[in-house]
Parts: sequence; C-alpha cells; structure tokens
Amino acid sequence: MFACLYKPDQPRGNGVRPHFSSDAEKTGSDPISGSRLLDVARLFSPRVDARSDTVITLEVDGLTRLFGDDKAIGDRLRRAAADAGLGPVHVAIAATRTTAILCAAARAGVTVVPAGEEAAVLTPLPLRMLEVFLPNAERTTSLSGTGDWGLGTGKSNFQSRPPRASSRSRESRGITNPQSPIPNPSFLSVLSRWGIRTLGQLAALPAVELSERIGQEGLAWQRLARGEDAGPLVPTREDDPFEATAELEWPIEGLEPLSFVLGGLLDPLCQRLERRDRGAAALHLHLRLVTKDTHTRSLQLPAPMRDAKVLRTLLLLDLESHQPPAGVDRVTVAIDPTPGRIVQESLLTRALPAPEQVSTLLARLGALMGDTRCGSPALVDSHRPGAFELVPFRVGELSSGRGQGTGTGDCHAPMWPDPEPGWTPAIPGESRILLATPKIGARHAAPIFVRDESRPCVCFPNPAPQIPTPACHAVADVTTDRRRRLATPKPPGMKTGEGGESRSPSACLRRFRLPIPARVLIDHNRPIVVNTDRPGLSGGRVHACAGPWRTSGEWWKLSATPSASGKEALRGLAGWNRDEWDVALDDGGIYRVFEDRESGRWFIEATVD
Amino acid sequence: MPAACRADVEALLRSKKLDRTLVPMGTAGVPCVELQEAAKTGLFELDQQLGGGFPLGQMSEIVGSRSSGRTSLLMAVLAAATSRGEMVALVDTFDLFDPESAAAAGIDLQRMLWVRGEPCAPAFPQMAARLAGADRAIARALKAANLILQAGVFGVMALDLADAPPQALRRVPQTSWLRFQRVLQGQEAVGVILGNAPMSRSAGGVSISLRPRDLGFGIRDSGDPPSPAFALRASSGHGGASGIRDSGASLGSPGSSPASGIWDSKRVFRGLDSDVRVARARLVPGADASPVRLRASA
Repeated sequence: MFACLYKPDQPRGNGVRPHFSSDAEKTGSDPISGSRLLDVARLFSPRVDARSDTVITLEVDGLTRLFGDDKAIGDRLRRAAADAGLGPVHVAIAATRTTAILCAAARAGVTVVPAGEEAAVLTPLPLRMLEVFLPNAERTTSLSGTGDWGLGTGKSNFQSRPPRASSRSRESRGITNPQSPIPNPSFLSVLSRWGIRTLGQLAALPAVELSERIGQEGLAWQRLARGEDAGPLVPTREDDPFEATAELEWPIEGLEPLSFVLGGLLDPLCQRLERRDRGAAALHLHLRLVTKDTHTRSLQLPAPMRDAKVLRTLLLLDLESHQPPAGVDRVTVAIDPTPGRIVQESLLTRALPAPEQVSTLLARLGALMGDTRCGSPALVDSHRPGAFELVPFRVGELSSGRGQGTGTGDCHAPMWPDPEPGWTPAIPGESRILLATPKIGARHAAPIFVRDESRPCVCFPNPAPQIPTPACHAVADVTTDRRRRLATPKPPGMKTGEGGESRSPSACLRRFRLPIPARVLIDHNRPIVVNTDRPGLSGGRVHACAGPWRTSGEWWKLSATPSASGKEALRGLAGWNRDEWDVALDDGGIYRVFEDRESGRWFIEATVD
Repeated sequence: MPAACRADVEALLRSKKLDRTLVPMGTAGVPCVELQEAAKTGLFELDQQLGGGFPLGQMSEIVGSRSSGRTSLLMAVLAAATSRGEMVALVDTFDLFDPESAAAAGIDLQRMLWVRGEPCAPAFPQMAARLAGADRAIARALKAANLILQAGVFGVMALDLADAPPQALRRVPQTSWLRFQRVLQGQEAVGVILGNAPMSRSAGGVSISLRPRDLGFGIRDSGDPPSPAFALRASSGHGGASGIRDSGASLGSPGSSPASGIWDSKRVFRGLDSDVRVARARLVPGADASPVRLRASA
C-alpha cells in the first residue's frame, strides 16, 4: 500500500480553483514547505518518493502494526502534517501510487481506496486531475488564462512543448524518479478535443486504437488514468552533507594517530564523492580538544579532488604547522562538494600535472619553508626597484602547450606603443623601442621616449660592429637582433630558441632583499672604493662604473626624518629617492650600489650575474 | 687482455649503477654514442656543445664566479623550458632571485615555482652564526629540492647555491647529491645546480663552467666627470605607478651636439661576456671542446 501526501496550493482570487494555482506567475511551490512535507513522510517510512514539493508518496506496508488500519495511518499522517505547520494536507492511501496521487489531489481529508476498487474510484475524476503528474510550471502554464481548466473549450489550453523541456523542468525541481517519466502534456489537449472528460472515459478507450492515433504517449496517459504505476517506487535519497565525525574513546595527541583517524573518515567520504561524481572544493577539519575548545582548520583546494590519501596528506601537512594545542577527543571532517573535474588530454601538447600532485607538493613545501615562501613570482605595476609579489602557484590556470605567456621563445618584451610625433628614438637607425630604464633586466613597463636634445637614456646602445667568430657567431650582436625582432614581424613558421636561431640571454641580477650597507669613497662625484662589512662581499676598488641613474617615487610616503625614511625605504614601506651606480670592482664582481638621497647612505642592492 | 680489463671495468660500473658513463664501442674501436634526449638551453652554440642540451634524468650544474653570467645562463635555461610549455621550479636558497630579471630573460613566471629560502641579509654577521644560518638554509633548500624532484611534475628543477659559503657546502653529505640522482633517474626532467665551484652532478650530467672574459665589455666609462648638477628630464607615469628616473649623463650639456650621443652611449652597462666550457663524462661525437662565448645583454 502506498500513501500520498498532497499539499494543495492556496486558493487565489475568487477561490474558483481549489486544487491548482491560477496564478500564472507562481511557477513553483514553496520549497521550504516541500522539504517539511518530506520530513513528515520520513517520520513514517524511509521509502519516500518526492515527486515534487507538493506531492509526496510513501510506502506504508507494515505500518498497520504500529498505527492500525489504513484509515488510522492516514489520520496519523494528516495530524503529523498539521503539527508540522503545513496546514490542511490531503492524504490518500491506495494499492498503487498513481491511484493514491490522483485521489489525494482530488479529495480533501483522508481517502482510503480498498484494493481492487481503484477503477471505481478513479472513473468519475475529471481529466484535468492528470495534471498532478506535471510539474507546477507545466501545470500553471497550461492553465493560464482559462476558466474551465482545459476542458470544453474550442482551443487547446495545453501548450505543446517538447518532452525534453518537461524533463528538464522536472530535473530542475528535484523530481528524482526517473523510472516514471512524465508523458507529453500536449496530448491531454488532444484528448480534451476528442471529448474525453473523465479518467473513466480515457481508461475505457481501446488501447490499440489509442496507440494508433496518438502513439505511446496516449497509452501512458491511459495507464495513469487506470491507476497503474509506471514503475516501482524509487526512494528519494537524503541530501546528507559530506561530513563525518569520529568520537574517540580516549584523547589522542600527535599527528601519527590522528592520521589513522583521518584516513578512516576520509575514505568513505571520498567514496561518496566518487559515487556522486563530486570533488572536494574545500576541506574543513574540526578537532574538539580536551579543553572543550575546537581547533578548526580549513583548506581551500585549488582543484576538485577526491583522493583520500591526498586529502589526508594535505590535512596532516597543514596540521604540522598548525598543531592542536591539546589532546583531541572528537574529529569532524566536512567537505564542500563541487562537480568533478573533467580533463581533456591532448596528444600534441605536454600534459600538465595533476592538481593533486601539485597541491601536495605545495603543502609539503609550505610546511618546510613557510606558507608565504612558495609560489609564482609576479611583477607589479610599480617603478619601485625590486618590486614583485608572490602569487599562488596554480596549475589549473595554465594552458597546456607551448608558446604561452611571455616565454614564447620569440619576443618576450612587451608591446610598446609608438612614440608620439615629435619624439624620436635615441638610437640612430632605429624606428622604435627605446627603454629609458637603463637597468639590467628591463621591466615590463611603458617605455620612456626622449627628445633629441636630451637623449640621456639608452638601454640598448648601438654596439660597435664585431666580426663574428666561429664560436660566437650565433650570439653575436644580440642587441641588434633583439631590436630587429621587436621591430619587424616574424615570418610564419620561424622558431626561435629551439635550435635554428639562438637568443641572447639577458643579464640578470641577484638582488638582496634588504640592501647591504656599504662604505663608498667618492672622488669627483664618482665612487672609487666600495667596502662592506658583510662576509662574502669583499668589496674593493672600483674598476669601472656607470651612472648615476636617479630614481625616485612615492614621494608622498617620504618621511620627514632622513634616517627613518631610509630604513623604511629599504623595507619598501616608504618612497625612494636615490642615485644608482653599476660598478665593477677589482674582486671581479659587478654590483649595483645606490645612495639613498634622503639619508646619504650607500647600499649594495644587487650583483649582476 | 684490454677487452677483459674493459669488461671488468664495465661490470664494476654496472654494479655501482654508473653504467650511464659506458660508451659502447662501434666498429674499428670508435666509440659510438647515441644522442640522448635532452632539454635545450635555448642557446644554439651551447646546445651543440651539449649534444642537444642538458640530458634528461640527470643532475647537471652551472658553476662560475660572481658576475660570470651563471645566473643569466640559468635563466636562459628556465626560459627555454617555459617556452616549451614545461613548468620549472627554482629553489632559491638565499632568496636572491630577481623576478624582474627573470621576466626580461623570457621566463613565463606563471609556469615557475619559486621556493624562497632564508633571505641573505646581514642577520648573522658573526662568522659562526652566519655559517649556522647558511647550514640551515642549505639543509632546507636540499629538502625542498628533493620534494620537488620526487613530485616529478617539473621539467627543470634549479637549485641555487651560488652564494653558499664553501664551508657550509663541504658539510653537505654526499648522500644528498646521490639521492637527487636516484630520484631524477628515469624522469623527463633536468636538475640544475648553480654554484661557485663543481660540487655534484650525475654521471650522465654535464658541468658548465663560466669564466668572465673582460669586465671592460660590461661597463664602459668615458672617464669624463659627470655633471654635478642633476636635473630630472625623463619621467613616466605608467598605469598609476609613480617613479622618476634620470640618467644624469647628459645633464649639464643640454642641447649638445650629436657627438654627445656617443658620449652617452659609453656610460651605460652593456652586459656580461664570459667563456663557457662544458665538462662531461660521456663523449659526444663531433662535439667541439672549444669554449662558447656567452654574452648576456643588459
């Protein structure tokens, strides 16, 4: 036996429609009351089918021993719904779910249909009762603007819509019984035009002729009119959260015993994730301590993953650096699910590593070096010397394949705008490209074009012609080649950096994060001796030098006291105002030194290497 | 008799898992070596000397003194790897990496994992304390490099030990280098160690040593005294950033003659010039042993 709980929509307007909503704007029922109706049904039986928010069917076999006959069960159901604050709920109990649904939709109160009398009960019901099998959106749309509920009019009140739209709407509303598909509602209009008014008339139609005229859809409607079920009851699964808790018999301390507990919790959780094709987007760990405090850790995963070993490793690595302060007596793991990851591999490009691997590696490195010491470097939009930022290393944001980003092996310099009229490049023979930053490792910033009369800054001076030797012809005159490549488009198919053509390396800096104080002797406004107390940097006489290059910025942050300003500038907290020199010392090293013009002190900022 | 001796030596090398150094003998006693898979450095001449590039699955090293261009060469290797679509990792033992230079060298920074070590700051001025700090930094860097190699997701793993004190490097157990080699074997990846002097490489790896040729190439100075008066000529506001930069070289002679351009061009840093030599255990047929000239332009 099956019972059906039907919560009718509230009557609107003049109350002509007691069962179905006449408000076309109301396309769905209240999901909150629907969930409460489902909760009421679950109080009586675990085998509950939630067809919609307003129609719930449940199997009541065996409840007679608890509550009495079917009438008593119906009363219990109705009373429980009233206690839940759902108001009047129609209850019907019948041998088939279809009969129970139709009777609950048609009659208020409690209806009990004895076995074998389904046809007699359903025969007088109007044809429009079959609309109860449609989703609310279909129902209200098909009946909008009519006063006779789709019956007895010359035009069809049922909108013809494809069956797929119906099923899509059904899925969106959470109807979870795929074994009882909804027939195409457009055929109900056909039946109404035939003069079919009641379920009994539809049930009495000869099946063969009905199938010949409107196909299997007509037979499906006829089976519903006869009260026959299209399939067995498929219980609706509970939306239980991905959460697991373990109460420990005695408190545990240390990560090793905790790893076993985490493994026992994560294994079934990950199996559930896999069954539902979900992945973990975030991982939450709640550890209840013996001090009654709760130690909570949350991990945002870079990609959906459901490997229990990986998740356990990530949690343990995080706990290594954030250990609970006391013993743990309860462990709770909660997972925020997200749809699983779909990866399209390619035969032509190098495959990126799995995010699980990278996440585990980053977690291990973070535990070893510190959370803020690992990542991808990124340039910032600033002229501050040595400015950079560290961003998280994300594999998912990379596109597999070559030639991505700035490392195309061809032209890694930024595209610069053309100079304005009246501004000319400082290098004779060059049509464009003049970077006014005479620094090793030109930053990706807008260039500075200078007028002819000043012409102070030349980053790529025109080198003297050199005769290429057999050993160095591939790297000869690289600056000219570089400028030429930037100025002229590359012909298709030309590859660089892969064998056919060589690319000149760029001189790089090794930059001290905190510049090293130095003692500099000045002669004729030029450094002649650079010394420092730092071991490893011997200093010495200046063999050659270039400069000064004066830079300043963020003057509004400059402090009033020169000494404080200098210290803050070193930490990047204040503005900078300094003269830079590139000096070659007689120890063989080339250094970048600068004089802080606020404090007058000298520092070694980097070595050229 | 020579054949028996050779067989004994080969058996001994195989027992020590050093058989990658074995060179199969071809006809007429000429060693025939098949070019193995390699990761190109992006420098054509150097790739030719290396037989295609750094051998995959091997630890190699780039050594040289300060300002010899070793870092520039390493950045070129990393840039070539990122241009191939690979991901690279840099273990920066003393936090000396300059992202700006790396971007200028052509490295796709998004494909780069930067593991920052302890900053090389005058935090431990005393020698004993400095060595203790260096030991700690090197130990962490070695662990990080081992983790990266074990993950096996990077095409190039670079370990920067260029500024490590020699005393601290001598205290590194040899098993650490051997572990690197064992982990890296069979992977389609390259391990590169940057240092002052040769310290470790696989039997099949290569050692690239750099020696600066001429400091005069790097810096040219006219010898003329600069003008005492500086005026800010060039300025830029790029996307909200602020900064004013001025060479000061031409200041004091505004409206100068065209010859002043030549005078200015002498006062800039132009780059590094070094000789690159390749040392290896394996023979590469046709490889030239002459040094390659490396010019790193500013």
